[in-house]
Amino acid sequence: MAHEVIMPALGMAQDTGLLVTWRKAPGDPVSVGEALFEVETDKATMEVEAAFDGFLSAVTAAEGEDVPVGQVIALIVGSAAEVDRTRPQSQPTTTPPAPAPAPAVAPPPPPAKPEIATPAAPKVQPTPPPPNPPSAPGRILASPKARAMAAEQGLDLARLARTGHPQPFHVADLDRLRSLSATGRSVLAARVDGTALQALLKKASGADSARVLAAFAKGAWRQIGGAELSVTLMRADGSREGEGALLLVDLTGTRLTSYTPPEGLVLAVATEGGAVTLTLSFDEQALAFETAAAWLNETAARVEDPVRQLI
Amino acid sequence: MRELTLQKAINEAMFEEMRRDASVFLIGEDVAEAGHPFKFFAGLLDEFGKGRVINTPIAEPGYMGIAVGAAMTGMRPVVDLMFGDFLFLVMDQLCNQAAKTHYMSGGKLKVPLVVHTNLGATRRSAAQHSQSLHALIAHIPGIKVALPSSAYEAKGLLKTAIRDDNPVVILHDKMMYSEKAEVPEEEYLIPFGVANVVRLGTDITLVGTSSMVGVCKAAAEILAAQGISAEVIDPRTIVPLDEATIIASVKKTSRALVVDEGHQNFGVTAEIAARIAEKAFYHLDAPVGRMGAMDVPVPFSPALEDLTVPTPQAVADKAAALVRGEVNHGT
Repeated sequence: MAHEVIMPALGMAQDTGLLVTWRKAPGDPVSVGEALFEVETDKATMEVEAAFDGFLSAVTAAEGEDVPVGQVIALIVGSAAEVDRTRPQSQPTTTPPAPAPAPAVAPPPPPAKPEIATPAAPKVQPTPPPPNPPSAPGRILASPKARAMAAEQGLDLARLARTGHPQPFHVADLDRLRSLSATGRSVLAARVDGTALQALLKKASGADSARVLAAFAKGAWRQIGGAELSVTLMRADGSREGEGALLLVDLTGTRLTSYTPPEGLVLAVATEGGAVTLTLSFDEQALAFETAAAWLNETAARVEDPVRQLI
Repeated sequence: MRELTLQKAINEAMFEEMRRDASVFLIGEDVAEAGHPFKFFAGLLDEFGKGRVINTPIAEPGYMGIAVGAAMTGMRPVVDLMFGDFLFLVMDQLCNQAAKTHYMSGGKLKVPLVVHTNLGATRRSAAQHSQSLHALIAHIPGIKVALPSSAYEAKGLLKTAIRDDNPVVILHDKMMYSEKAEVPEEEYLIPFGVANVVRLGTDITLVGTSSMVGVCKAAAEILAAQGISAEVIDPRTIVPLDEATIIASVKKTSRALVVDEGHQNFGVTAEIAARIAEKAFYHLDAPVGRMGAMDVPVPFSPALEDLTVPTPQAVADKAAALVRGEVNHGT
């Protein structure tokens, strides 16, 4: 005859009990009144005694397990022969022993090399710690307000960081960044005869001057060895077309002569009398002077002599 | 306008409220004939008699319990604790009973009582009579905490406290008892949960409580001489806390330093600084600074005691460092 051992309700509002320890192992003889196991409730840890004589058997709750009240967690059987000795796996308790250290992210094993016979006995080498990840380009330290204002005003804190300005940046440092933006801008200008361009635009009636100029700029860029260049077109009325790295501002046919916005790579093209002026404004941190000069020179040459575009 | 000491302002508040409402009574040690060692209650016994001005044995838990019961049954007791340090003695009556009765009775019972006590060091009163324990009380839901910063504030806040239907602990800095301030003749109340912008400024917000309001005002003068414009805010009550005024100020100045005379660890400065960090984070141009009393028992040695509390110079130095961007917690 087997008697069930259940998780007792030790408190009024208790739903589960934490089984702390079994005081008896499966197969152990138990008698009425002997401590069987310990339960932890929200208020205390209590011993639970055996209610029957016999042998502990069929233990289903492990130490460290939170067991619903009323659940059968073992049997007390009448004879040693009936004992079921299977034991459940111990569970981590609410205060678990420190878990075994997770295997460190070890560097991958070195590629197998042709083994050179080395007489030395194989030693267990201590695993070298994994190398630090290459330091990221560097998190910029800035006050929340400085960061928010920089974002609002389109200022790039990284630019200030590159100058070696001490961090963390505060709002006051944004003035320095602004002056950098104002003074850090380089402008190259070219002036060429516009007769050929005028003739071209007239001949191909309906040809869009901005697109023609964009084609020249792209062609010149390829000529100096650049990869594909994407262009945003902008006209004097402020209308924009496309989305690209270069902002090409077409001021031809107006009295305007040049435009230098605060940021970005910008080529403004204007007509002055019979001449065409090209103004390239750029950031020398992004585009080297030599490249800019060669590019603008080649673009201007194409304006002067559109046939170059076909070569 | 006439000037009154803080002692006299409290005395007036008690006379006015006890005349206005017959359910108001005073209970505590040496409050009757002696009128309290700090003389707040002089003359009350003569006018209101022993039934309403009650001397007790040296037994704070006992008379606090009497007051809680009286409040639950319709009276409005003012309980005097001679030193704020004795709050420890009445914690169960105050925090377990008074604070929770309205809630646990489903709103059927109210506990309109006032605990009138003090805080503040530098009176050479040693470690057990110099503590500023208001943060302990503020931690418990159900109790309001008022911290007057002048005689004017003390009178207006005490009168509001007596009329409040909840338990209120009002703590005066014992170093301010004889400080004078302008107090109008006519009656006035100061509402709870409405901070006072004591001084306008643009570069940093100094939030000070109790006597630290004066310290912050003096610090603001020092800072002004350095070209730094400090705004000074007195929350008046830390429960309820006028968060909106503090946050609005920090959004304007983008920096904050919170100053309180309780111990710094886990204290009022921590709570207010955390709220600023939570609600004005993207407006901050410097870490939120805080200065409380040093985390040591208050020393008896005058030389040491003076070092444990924030001073105008220390507040100004810390504020200036925040404004100049010199406070950096590293990379």
